[in-house]
Amino acid sequence: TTLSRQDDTYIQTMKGQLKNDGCNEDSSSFNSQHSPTSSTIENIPNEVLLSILNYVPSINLLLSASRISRQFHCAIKDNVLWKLRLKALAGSTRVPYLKELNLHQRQRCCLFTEAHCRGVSSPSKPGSNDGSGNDGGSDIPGIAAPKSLLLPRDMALHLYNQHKCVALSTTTDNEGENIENVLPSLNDINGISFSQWGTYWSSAPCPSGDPGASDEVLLFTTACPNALISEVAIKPFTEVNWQRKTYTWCGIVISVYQSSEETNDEDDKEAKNMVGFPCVILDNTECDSLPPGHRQSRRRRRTAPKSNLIKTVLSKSNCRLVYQSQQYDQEFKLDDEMQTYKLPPGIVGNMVTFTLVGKNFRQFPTSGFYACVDRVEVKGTPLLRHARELEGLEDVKSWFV
Amino acid sequence: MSEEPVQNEDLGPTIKLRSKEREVFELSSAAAKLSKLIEEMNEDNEDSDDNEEQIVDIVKVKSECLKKVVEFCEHHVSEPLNPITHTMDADTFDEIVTQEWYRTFVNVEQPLLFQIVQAANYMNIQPLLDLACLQVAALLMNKSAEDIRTILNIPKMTPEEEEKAKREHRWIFEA
Repeated sequence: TTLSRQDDTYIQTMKGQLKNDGCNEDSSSFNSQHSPTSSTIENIPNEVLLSILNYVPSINLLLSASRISRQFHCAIKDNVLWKLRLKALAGSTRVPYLKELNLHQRQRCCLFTEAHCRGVSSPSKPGSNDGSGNDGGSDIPGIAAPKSLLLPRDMALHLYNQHKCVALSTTTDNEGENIENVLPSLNDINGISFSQWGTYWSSAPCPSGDPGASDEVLLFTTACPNALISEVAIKPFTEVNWQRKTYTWCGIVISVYQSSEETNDEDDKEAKNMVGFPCVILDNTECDSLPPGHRQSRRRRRTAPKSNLIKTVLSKSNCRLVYQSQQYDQEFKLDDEMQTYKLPPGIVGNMVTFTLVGKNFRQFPTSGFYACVDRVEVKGTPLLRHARELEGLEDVKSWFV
Repeated sequence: MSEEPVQNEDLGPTIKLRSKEREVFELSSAAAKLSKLIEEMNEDNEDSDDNEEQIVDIVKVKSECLKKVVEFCEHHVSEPLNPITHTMDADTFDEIVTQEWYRTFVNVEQPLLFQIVQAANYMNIQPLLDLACLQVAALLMNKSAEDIRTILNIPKMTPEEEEKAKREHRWIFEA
């Protein structure tokens, strides 16, 4: 696009100004030298300015456009701009689930979603774009990199002892094979340890592996009150000590729920979802009764099922289903690689469930069918309500590394 | 000279548009449908005799700009602009607008470009508004605030205002 040629003095001064950063021109003297041609962009109505800004990526809007002038600054703080942008990114079907977000959360959503639509995932160094000639151009800031949204394992176990759960499973075989084992650990040890005990989750045995008759639901809450969830992953567990066997499932369905603090339930004594840092489920219910004929090992006590608790939590009036995937079939029964599932843009929630449909293998020919999981991951970006929400919460910040 | 309105068999009767400087431009009926403003104004003239000339006053648009608008509308009849649906991201303007004629059309001097934006908004011509807004957005891409102010001839914010705006978005660089 050609520049205005109305004033030679203006052009000459502008050329000098555009020498990258080495320019010695005093900006105040520049302003007094140029011809007082009225800035035509300032005559543009606000709604038209919003149309123009609609085509500018979020990173450019926030980093450079917001510092151009008061007019631009005000336009970029207009909630309408970000509502429309988010609707365009996420699709109109997601709008009902996104309307409760505030301006800051919408900006975070747009920034993150645009970065992932481009397929860029590596963060840039903090501060590298401040005041440079290319601020907000091609670098992706750290905020746009997907982060783990799950509470670390040790913290989860600590809360579990206080009857606060961040992970639930419909069944668990033995103590020590609990669902918290699959959460990210800050102290992961690389290499093979002698015993795999305590590093995986195992379902209780099931007489049948048929889909529908032996499904398991694994539920995980996020470490923040609200999150934009971009991908989830699950890794089947392979037993190596007794025999090499991977306890996979026939298919998997991924669901995302959003639980709010308000509830219309009059009797909310049993299971209660608490939304915060992290989101927890208070497990004050009596344990589900164990199935008849249940045999308890002296060394490893079998854990009571939590299927009723999970159903109660997900059916509460303040808990709504935000997204449910199709069923993904397990192509290779022995595949124990991490299986990653990308979610469509605009999925905002604070609980994720993995429904493991059916089971493929028995442990021994005479035993029941099992499903076992080595690791789970839920990634995205925390939707903080404002930029300073984590100030003073150093421990919480470390959860999102 | 015939006193009857010029009619193109394919494009319908001609509509005359009068600019701010009272200069008259002709626009085919098919092309005029692109503008909701012209459509509405034409509905007011429905009861008039078909043989009378229809002149629509576009008082807010200068001749130089109105000529460009007419040119756009006429061309759009034969080659509609592909919808522009997304932000610029890593794409350049030329990657989003692949139609050569439209790329050339909107490659004009800044004052005229902003006039086209305003005219498209006033006359409610959505494809032209999208195209012109995208071109303006292209000016803002990959440039610092200082460079954009220079190009658009906008006065600076005060140092305090600029520092506040910078601080407001520092959260973007959280790890």
